Amino acid sequence: MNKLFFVLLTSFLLFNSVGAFAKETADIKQSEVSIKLPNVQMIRQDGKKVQFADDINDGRVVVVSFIYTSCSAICPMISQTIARLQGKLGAEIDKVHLVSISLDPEHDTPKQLAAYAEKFHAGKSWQHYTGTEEASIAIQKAMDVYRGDKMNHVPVTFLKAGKGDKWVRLDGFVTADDILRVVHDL
Amino acid sequence: MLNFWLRIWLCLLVTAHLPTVAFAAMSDLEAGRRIYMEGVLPSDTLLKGFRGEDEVSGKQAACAACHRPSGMGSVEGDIQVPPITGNYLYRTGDSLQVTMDPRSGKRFNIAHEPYTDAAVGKAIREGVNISDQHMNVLMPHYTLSNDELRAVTVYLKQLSQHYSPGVTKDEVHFATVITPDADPEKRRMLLRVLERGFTQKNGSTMLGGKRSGRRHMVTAAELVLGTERKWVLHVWNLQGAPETWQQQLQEFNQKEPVFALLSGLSGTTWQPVHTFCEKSHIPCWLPTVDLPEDAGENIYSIYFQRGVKLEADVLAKFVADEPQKAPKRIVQIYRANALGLGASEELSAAFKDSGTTIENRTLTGDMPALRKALEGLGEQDLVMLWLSATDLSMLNAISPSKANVYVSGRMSGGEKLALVDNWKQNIKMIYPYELPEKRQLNLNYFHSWMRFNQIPIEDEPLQAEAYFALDFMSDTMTEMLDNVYRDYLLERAESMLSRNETGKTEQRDRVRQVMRWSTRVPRTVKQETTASDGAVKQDGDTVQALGKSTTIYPRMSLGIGQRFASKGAYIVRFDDVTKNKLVPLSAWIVP
Repeated sequence: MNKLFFVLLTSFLLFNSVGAFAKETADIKQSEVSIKLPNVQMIRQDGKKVQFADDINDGRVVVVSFIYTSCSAICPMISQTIARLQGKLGAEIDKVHLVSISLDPEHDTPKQLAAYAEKFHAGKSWQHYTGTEEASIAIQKAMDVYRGDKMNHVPVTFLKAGKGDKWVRLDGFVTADDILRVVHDL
Repeated sequence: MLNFWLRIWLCLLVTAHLPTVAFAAMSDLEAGRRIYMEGVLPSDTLLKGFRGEDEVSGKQAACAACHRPSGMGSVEGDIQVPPITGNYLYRTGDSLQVTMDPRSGKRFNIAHEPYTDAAVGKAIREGVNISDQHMNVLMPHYTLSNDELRAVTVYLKQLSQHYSPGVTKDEVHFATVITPDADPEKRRMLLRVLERGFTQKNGSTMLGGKRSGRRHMVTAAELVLGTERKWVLHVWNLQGAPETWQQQLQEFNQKEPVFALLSGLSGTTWQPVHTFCEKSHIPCWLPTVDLPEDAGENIYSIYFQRGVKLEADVLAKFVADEPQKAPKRIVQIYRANALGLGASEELSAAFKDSGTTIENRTLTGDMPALRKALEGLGEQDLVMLWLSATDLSMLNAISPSKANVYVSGRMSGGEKLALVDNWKQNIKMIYPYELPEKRQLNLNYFHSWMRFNQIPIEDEPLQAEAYFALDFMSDTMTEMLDNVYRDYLLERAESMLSRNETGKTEQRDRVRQVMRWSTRVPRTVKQETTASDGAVKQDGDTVQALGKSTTIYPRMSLGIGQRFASKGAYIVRFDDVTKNKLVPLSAWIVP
């Protein structure tokens, strides 16, 4: 009896711990947040200077991600996902504003960002933003993604339906389908 | 008839085996290197991998993209990319610790059972590691033939297998290169800082993990693993024409191989040294130069900033941002050496499409030549003087120009430029450092070190650069533990520079606040200063300000493939009252 119990307990524990590692870490945490964005000046990859908060408050659905061009691991995945999303949106892309903000603005000049955007076939609804170090940090802090250094960044995506300051925050490696699901829910 | 079909059959036979034929022509090592570094298979097709449903191919799919050229892995966000050199995978190395996440200080790579070649195959093809876990979604699943897999394992087994040249269990050798055209005074100052630093470091280094007698703190890891080494400094004085420098460097390195070039000094060109580093795969670490090499691929040299070329680009941006004040003509005056030519070419290129006329006047001779070069210039002209402090001092015998005159902060000696007042009141400067008063707090520790070692501050940018080259090398080597490989040194510099700077300044601020220390306005500054919160303080007042860097630069940062740590400059002029203080005319401009 004891032996059986022991075997059952061990296999119970074993299967649990194996299970914990066996899944690929694609768990996403979804939350709703209210964000007051600073209206700092930013520059787009096409060189256009904008007031940031105003620029992403024109009534379109907004999808915000954070990248930097010399990033090798996380950013290519994030940008690939946004590229996929761009494709899946098809004609609906006109109602959506895809926003990628640079975490390394001093290195990521508009020219640098344009080359990066080109790699992922960014269309006219997908803008990459840079500016001063202070401006980028102000936006990161307002959105609660500031982690002290660009290389500490973790994948986070924000979605907003139309104007206002209510956002959905998705922590983790989202897929294009995940984003679409949330967009349609909004 | 038979011949025809025989031929067809033979052709098919050959083409079916072409990939293998291609493979046979290439060694396993080379095939493995191409897969690892470039994401190209022996058949010349791109390596393909899948992350979930997303395909990556080519360079983005290459192992080096995340595991890095050294194979030592990396950390991004909360994701650890582990080391995969043969020493680590197969656990054949002596030391098996890699500092992964220095934010937590003691987070090392996760130990695991030794891999076998078959297990490596399973990891690469199925994404399951030796501990039978599915790896992070970032690790792609690849399709590799058995031959291709074998090539990869052959490559991994020799990757970063031994210490780099210039490194033994107990010692690491560095060289500082001084070009023959370097200013003798600057040479003296630079070497004094470096020699003092090496002596001090070695004075308290305990080798082989000995605990007793240790007189300075090291990290817990260094203490336990005994990875501190004695540093040996070689001074390589170059002679003669630049065309002969590469040869001299090769001879120096042949006689006494070094791990890296540390700091260094040049008067005009640095290009032959840069090329030597690229060809010999030797890291060239933060030399003090006015004209770094910024063209072409640069893997092995990291620089503080782009020197006079950066200044040229900053000036161009400053002018372009105010089109209503645009000059009709830009006149550049410079000596026809590598430095003057490099700077003027950069400025010319920056204004190429602007419609502004650029006129270049080379200076050959002394004061009369300079006076002549300044003739015929008026208020509509912008004059850029790419001249040293010595040359600029000749202006004192010349009546001030009516034109908009700019000088190079780097070449002129910055705030120490000694000119008569009526020149100073109109001159503007491109200044690639943090403003002198603002940076005093950042340089607190540097100043303490200089005082303690009884070295007077004669040229703050130069001495601070030499000190930082030492300090940052020391920090980076500490983190590397026993993994002393050249590629890894550069990879850690890329990822750690800005993190270290932020970490240190935050830590020092905390110390200040905990001890309730505040920082007096330095005694040498005998005029009004503006603290970071905008309040104006007088000399002697205490100023609580937050430093943002530990160097003369407001911010230093690198990243994968980035080679210039500071990326901007101010435009400044001299103040009206004392004529010794620099007053900013712009924000920090990043071109």
